[in-house]
Amino acid sequence: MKIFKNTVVIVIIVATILVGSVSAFFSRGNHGSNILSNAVGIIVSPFQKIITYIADSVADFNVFIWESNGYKAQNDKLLKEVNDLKLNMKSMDEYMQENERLKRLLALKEDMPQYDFVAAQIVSKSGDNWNESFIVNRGSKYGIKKNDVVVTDFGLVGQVSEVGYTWSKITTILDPSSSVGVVVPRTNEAAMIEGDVLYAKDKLCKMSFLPYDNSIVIGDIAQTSGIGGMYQPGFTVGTVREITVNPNDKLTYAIVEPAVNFNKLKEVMIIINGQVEE
Amino acid sequence: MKTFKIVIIVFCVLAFQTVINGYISIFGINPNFALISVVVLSILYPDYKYMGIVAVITGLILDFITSGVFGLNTLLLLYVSQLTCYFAKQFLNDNFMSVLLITFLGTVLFESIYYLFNSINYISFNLIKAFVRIVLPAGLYNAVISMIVYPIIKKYVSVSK
Repeated sequence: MKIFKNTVVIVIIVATILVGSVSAFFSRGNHGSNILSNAVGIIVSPFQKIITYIADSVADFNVFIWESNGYKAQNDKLLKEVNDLKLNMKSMDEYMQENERLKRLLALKEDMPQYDFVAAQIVSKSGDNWNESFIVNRGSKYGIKKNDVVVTDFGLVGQVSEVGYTWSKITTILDPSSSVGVVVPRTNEAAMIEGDVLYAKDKLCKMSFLPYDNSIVIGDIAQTSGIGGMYQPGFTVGTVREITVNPNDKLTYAIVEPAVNFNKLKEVMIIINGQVEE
Repeated sequence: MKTFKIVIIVFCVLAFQTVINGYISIFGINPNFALISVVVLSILYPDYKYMGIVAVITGLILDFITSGVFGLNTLLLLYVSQLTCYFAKQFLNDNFMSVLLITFLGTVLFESIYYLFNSINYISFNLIKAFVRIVLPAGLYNAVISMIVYPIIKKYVSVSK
């Protein structure tokens, strides 16, 4: 036991001396890395790199988790801002279009000082398949009467067919009940533009009572002639798009595309002093 | 409660008919929401008297709003409501197929009579063209729309039913 005790003490002492000597030998005159530490470093550093990468990632992820609520809120806020901006742009676009339309209507008022106009907005359309009429938000309160002529800066829209105190019903030139006396300024030929239920579906109307030997061509413009006193002369009604001749009865009729785009019509001008006194 | 709900439906239908219709017309063909709702309600409540009153009120308001022969909408919606009530009582079930079929046939009847009445006044008479260009497409369009309108109205009135 005594021997064992002595052996252990001796081993410890020898080991201590050995490690101390080796350590002293390798570090002598070299304050940087020694061969052993270098070898260890070469072996360990890739693992360290991986562990560092993992640790950094975990740390970043932790940061992301901690801050994710903030990101979400920020993202929501930015999305809301984008939506608001889109909405603003849309309404600005609408305002600009409305402004353009109103400017043109105002120009019409200035171009024709002989007429008194009342501007009106379309509030509803007939909505059935056989009539082409709509209701506007102005009535007798503003001096509107039955048969007053309705126009836009592009041309003729139709006529007032019914009047209420704050509303009026407008029958357009597309309606089958409508007929307008027109003249083609290029040839000075007179005709009649009538609404036709089948053509009205394509927003077209029919020009009839044309002489068989007429010289009207596609592209000719038809204007109100003023004959009959229902419509004031000089308003553009539409452009000739097709000419058809019936060889049996020698009758010619043309398909006319109205100058006014009825699909996009929102505001109109009603002439309140244009009726011919009887 | 049932009457109140039907009044709301009629109000919505008229708003659709006069304001929204222009935006959803296809090749110039407008859906007839008034007719569709009268058909759907008549299938759900096949009561001649009750649906007759609903049809007359809806038609009268439409007649005031639209141009054309006054009273024609009222008369035609009344016909459609009474015929639908009759078919619903005799053999129709409350299902999609019945609504589709009756809406199509009701539209063809409605638009044909509307055309004939108007042609007396001012429409140049061309029945075949009118059928191909307006009556049949309107029937198909209304039948398709009725597939959307029917479940909405059914769900809305189901509580009171």
